[in-house]
Amino acid sequence: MAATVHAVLTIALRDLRQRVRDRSAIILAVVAPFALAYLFSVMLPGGSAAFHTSYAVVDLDGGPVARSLVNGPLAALKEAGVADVTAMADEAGARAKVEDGAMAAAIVIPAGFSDAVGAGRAAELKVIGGADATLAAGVARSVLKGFASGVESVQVSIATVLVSSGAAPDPALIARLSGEALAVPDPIILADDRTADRVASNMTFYAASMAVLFVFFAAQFGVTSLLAERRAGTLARMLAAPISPQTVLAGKVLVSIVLGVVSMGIVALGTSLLIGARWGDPVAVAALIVTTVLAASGIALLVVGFAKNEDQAGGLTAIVAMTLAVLGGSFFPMSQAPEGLAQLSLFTPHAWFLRGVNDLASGAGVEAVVSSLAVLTAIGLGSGGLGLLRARSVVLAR
Amino acid sequence: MTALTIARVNLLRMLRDRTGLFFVFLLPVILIVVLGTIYGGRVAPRLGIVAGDRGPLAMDLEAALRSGDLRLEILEVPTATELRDRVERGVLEVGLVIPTGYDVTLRTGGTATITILGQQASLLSALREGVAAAVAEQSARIRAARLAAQRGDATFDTALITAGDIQGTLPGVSVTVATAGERLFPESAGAFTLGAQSQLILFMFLTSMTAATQLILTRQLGVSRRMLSTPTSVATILAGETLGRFAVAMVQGLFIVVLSAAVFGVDWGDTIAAGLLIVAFALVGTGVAMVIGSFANNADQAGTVGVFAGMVLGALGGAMVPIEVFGEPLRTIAYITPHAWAIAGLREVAMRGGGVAQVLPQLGVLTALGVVLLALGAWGLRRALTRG
Repeated sequence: MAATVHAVLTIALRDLRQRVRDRSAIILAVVAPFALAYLFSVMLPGGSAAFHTSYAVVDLDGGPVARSLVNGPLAALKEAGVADVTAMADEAGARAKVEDGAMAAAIVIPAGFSDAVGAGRAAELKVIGGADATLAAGVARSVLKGFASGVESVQVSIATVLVSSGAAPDPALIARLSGEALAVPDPIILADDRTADRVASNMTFYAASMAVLFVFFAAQFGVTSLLAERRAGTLARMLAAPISPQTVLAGKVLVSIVLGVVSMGIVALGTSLLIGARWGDPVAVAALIVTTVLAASGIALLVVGFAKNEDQAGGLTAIVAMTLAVLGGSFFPMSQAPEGLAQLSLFTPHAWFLRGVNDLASGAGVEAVVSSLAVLTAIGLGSGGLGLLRARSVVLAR
Repeated sequence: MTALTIARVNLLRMLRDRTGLFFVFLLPVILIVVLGTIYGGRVAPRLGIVAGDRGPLAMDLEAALRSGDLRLEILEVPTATELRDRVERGVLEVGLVIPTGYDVTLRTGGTATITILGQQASLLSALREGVAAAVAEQSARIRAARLAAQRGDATFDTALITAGDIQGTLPGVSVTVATAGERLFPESAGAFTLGAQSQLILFMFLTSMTAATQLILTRQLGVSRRMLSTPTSVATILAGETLGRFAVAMVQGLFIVVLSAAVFGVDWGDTIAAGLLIVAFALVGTGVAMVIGSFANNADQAGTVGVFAGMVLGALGGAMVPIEVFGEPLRTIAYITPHAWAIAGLREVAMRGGGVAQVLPQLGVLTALGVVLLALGAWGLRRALTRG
């Protein structure tokens, strides 16, 4: 037993020493993920940002109802930080601002608005929305409609009572009803609940997504060297010594795992220390990294079983790694994807790793990522098991 | 003639490399599909509803939200826990919980509380307005019905129907919406158009970067020297190698254009203008490949660094996310990359119906850059070949 462990370690150590001297391994395992994470997080926007827009308000009326709109709901928008609200003197000027994109939308209160509302005549409010500001225009329209419902509420109440009771629209009755209608409290309360967010910051997302993308390249170095050794004849010589094929395989798999853990570990540590990524609970992150590396090593081993030589294995690994990364959300956050694609992404280790990082980055502990850890381990053992079966024949076919 | 043979060999080498084929042809297509599915089809924010009540008032409110002004995509979520989970993960922008007993509470004069959930920094404050508008409308009807019922003029239910009819016919306050200005990305542009344009540019350039390593190998393995020992002039070899790389870029470019047009219905606009832009960009790619191929000496490193540089330039040039989402000064800096010019040109042609005349600036910049790079590359290769 001790001799076997010794042999496994000897094989692994020798391979690791070789890798450390190989510059392209270092580039792929450490430099590339680190540099790309930094560049992407600086260049590409991402994550959730608060909505903020700007409205021009043209009050051509100046009456009491118009003022209650401007000082009420529109001022509240400004206070809530939803929009900058700027008063403008004329519609043409406001429209020009919207056309050149300086303002997202203009809200126009036409002259005579207050009088019309007071007299129960039809009144109109206008929204001029920028062509690319669909949401901002929709928000403006919603605010105005909410205001309109409030204004109409008393009218609706009075009319409903008059219709229901069949009473004549006597001015004294209307005045009394209007007082009573105003006294009826609002039956529905809309309560805000600001949730936590389990979405990693941009920096952390790209650090994690690049780490998981490149760990596949790092992990392949261990197991693909089997093919190189077979070609060079060193594999046959190793097996001529009192070393079983299992021992050789174990050594190579160990190299993959060590390289993978080192690669992801350095990226996690480096991005935390140097560029402000926040991965969260170190123990849980370490567990997530180890299980992800297990999955990557398992898949690399499986790929090796299908390759004829190390060039082909490298190419196949690159193909598998890129495909899984694209589908798994390393490039585009899967939270934005439609249901079908999001479901599909759950077949990739990337999606489970990133899901775990999102949880941990927002402060959750290891218990929050149990499902991620379980799935990643299962992927690792499943693909690794199949890979071992095939790889054994690679070793025996020396 | 010999130049053509050299070019043909270059092209064949690309087509025989199966791993290469994946990165040249398949990966861009996969990315176009994924990008189109994620960003192309959906523009509306997503609102999740937990309908704790299936009564008419609750259903009424849901219907009002569906037809609301924010054009929200509305999804029903079974439980409040799951809703919170999805909101926290950012799968849903906003969540709404209509409480159990909503109808009964409102019918019996109570106050119902609807909870609206959103992340701290999110669209909540904006989308809330859409929900508030729908709630205010229902609220007005209920208040009217309560007043009538309270006065004994009608039952709550009858009065509620009356109030609904009145709300529909009241002259009241209407809100009209007009649109000003021109859309950046017209709605007619298909879901896959933006993705296809950016991936075309990103991958044509990446392929050129890998083609550069082939040139280094050709030199180092002594293939070029052996060619020179035959009655082939340096000029012919130069022409052949250049043509080969240009052909590789064009084959890939045309593949992406034709496939995206045929399968995903991407409209590239005026054929001549789009074609010239692609040719000009292929020239730039060829030039870069020739420069790296003649000056770099380590094929492995040139390959890794080249792909890396291609990704960075692509990101900076708007080939990963549109330049329009960048802030200044990045938006201006982006135009130091050929990618930004090419994409701007392709946009103009495909989305604003531009012809050759409209994209002359982009064509000019790309062609000039291509010619300069080609000249530099040719000079470098000639130097490398004739020095020994």
